[in-house]
Amino acid sequence: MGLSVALNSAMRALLAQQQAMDVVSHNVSNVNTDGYSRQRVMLTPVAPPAGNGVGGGVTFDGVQRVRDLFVDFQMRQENQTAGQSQARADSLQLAQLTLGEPSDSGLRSVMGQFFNSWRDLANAPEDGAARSAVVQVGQTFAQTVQRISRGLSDIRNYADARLRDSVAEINNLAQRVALLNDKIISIRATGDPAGDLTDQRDLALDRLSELTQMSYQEQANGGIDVIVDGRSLVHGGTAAAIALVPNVANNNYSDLTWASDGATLDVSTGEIGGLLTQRDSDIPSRIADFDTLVSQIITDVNTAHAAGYALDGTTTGQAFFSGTTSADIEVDAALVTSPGLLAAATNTGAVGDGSNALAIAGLQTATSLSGGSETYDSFYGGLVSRIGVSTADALGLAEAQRLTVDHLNELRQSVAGVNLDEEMVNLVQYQRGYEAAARIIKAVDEMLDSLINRM
Amino acid sequence: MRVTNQGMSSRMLSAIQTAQTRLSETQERVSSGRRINRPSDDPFGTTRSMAGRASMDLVGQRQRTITIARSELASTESVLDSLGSVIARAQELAVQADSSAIDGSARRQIAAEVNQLLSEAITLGNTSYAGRRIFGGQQTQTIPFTEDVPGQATAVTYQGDGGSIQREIGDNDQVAVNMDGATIFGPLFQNLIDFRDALNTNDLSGVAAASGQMSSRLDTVLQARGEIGARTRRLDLADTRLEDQMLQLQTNVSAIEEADLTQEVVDMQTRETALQAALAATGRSLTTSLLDFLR
Repeated sequence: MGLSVALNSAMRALLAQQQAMDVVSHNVSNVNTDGYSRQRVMLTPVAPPAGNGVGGGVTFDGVQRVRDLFVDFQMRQENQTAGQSQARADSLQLAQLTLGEPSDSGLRSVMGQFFNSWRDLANAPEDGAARSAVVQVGQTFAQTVQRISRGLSDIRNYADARLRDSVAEINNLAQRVALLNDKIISIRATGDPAGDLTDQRDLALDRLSELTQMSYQEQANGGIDVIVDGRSLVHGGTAAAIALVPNVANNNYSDLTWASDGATLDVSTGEIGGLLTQRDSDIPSRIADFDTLVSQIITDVNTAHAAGYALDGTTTGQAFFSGTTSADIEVDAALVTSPGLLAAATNTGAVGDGSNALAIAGLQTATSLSGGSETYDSFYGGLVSRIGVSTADALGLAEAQRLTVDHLNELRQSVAGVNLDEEMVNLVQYQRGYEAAARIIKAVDEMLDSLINRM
Repeated sequence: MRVTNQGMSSRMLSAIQTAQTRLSETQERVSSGRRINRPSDDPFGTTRSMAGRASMDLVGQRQRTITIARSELASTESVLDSLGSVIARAQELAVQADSSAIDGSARRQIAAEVNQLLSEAITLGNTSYAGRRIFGGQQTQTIPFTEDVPGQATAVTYQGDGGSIQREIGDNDQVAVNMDGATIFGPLFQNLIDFRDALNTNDLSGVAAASGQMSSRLDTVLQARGEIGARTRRLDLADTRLEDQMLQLQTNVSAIEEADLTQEVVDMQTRETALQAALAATGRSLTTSLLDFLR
């Protein structure tokens, strides 16, 4: 009793301040670590033994991880929409880049040149150069259409490739969460909060929520279950896997299924949700629009061409375009070898008659689309404008969603992040505490000295 | 709100990013001079600019067609001018031949000149312009008028047709650039042949009959030239209209597509200032730390 009590409590204080400084050091070291949550020292006074009013000093009671679980939850909700809108914005930006409008090199310009070449032919139907020009400009037109068609299909291919990467990442993350679940469950059983492992798991969940539509639930033992489309992706220490199954009916693009039983997986948000929509409905509907235009042009030009007569005055016009869609449109090979087969004349045996060429050129200003309300130009203009509207909308949404996530991230940082100044103050505080405890030891030492050596 | 080091740097980064993005947007508009660089910049403006450019292509094409049509009509006009001279000379010869002061041999000499005029008229009827026979209707690659006896025709056959050559100068607006060769030349050839033959045979009543018809041949030519004049004026009107239209379209398309440079440059400077402010704020706050004061 007596002086040794003070000595013991001072020693406990030394140890406690030291451990607290370790925590400060840990916080300072992780000031730039992604996903790190600052840790707070928990110091508890040692209660006095029964019958004695004076306590036994301080004890280090572990660390607390500072985190706002509600912000985490909100952020993972918003992440899903953010991933989806970003995927949409990415593919639509590519789509408008493919069209390359407004410019003097896009399809609008080439289409104008094509019909103007027929007008030139009408002005000189017996002229070989004018005939070759129609064939050449026709080929340029067909190639431009094919280039756009390929460009749009490539966006689908690209979405599929990204989808495969994302699914691989989801599977990795699921395994990672399961593994961390295992460790966290066993460490928490000992009473340790396993803060650093929880940070890692939170980071994995953040990324997972960007990639896919999901929900999650923390269990009493500290494990987190992740649910995707109504089934467990992660349950405790086990992770399910998503399998990619090529679908022959859909360009061999991958369908998402559960690896365990092959059941289909349906997600609409998150990056993979956005990619699936782009790949399977949004871009295909733009391609269908484009095909409506191209097929109409092919049919109309071929029909009008068949009504005329070739340079020899007797051969009726054959098909000008071969192919039926934007993917396979070509100028018929026979016309490429003999432009004399171009049917510029309406009358038989009238070499100077260019009126059928004029009739074909007139198709440009005829309202033959959308139930007789739109010309080729206005239909194509509408298509471009719809992609422009969607792209502007998608970019705006993606930007807004990014800002929301940024804001939530700031909120989270304001709770969980490390502030170096704060840590420095803590450091000074613990250092002073340590010095004071040392001073007590010195005082007790001097008291013992007077007691033992001077008596 | 509690401030943290990571939070602060990510907020600063995001502010710099935003300022840079906004600056690069104006920079793009200033350097390209265009307000619309892709459909999403202004979807409806894009549609209007595309429609405007399509109309410009069409108007330009019609302006070129008008230039072609004008020169085609001009070449026809100059042929008819020459043809008028031929007929006028034939009329002079008819007056000479009608005189009782000359005899049969003098008439045969006149007949020789009339035969030359006939050849000249046939040559005119067979004129080509830009590789096309202009009086053969749509049979532009066939010689329109052929003589049964070269140099001494007793009959001239028309090989062309009555088809017209149309040039498109507007929507559903076409102008014919050829004249019917059979109407203008056919009766004239027969008239000249009859005249020559009457002179050769010293058939005075035949000479009188042939020369009497000559003035109506001249009328036909003058009427045709009047018609060409009318068509040329129509082309001129259409050309003026198209020129106005082109100017209007160019103004519209520029207004839609082009950036307002004054405005953009002012914006660019404002945004540059914003970026500099963001950079300065970042530079200062990231260096302030309690560590500087703990000694």
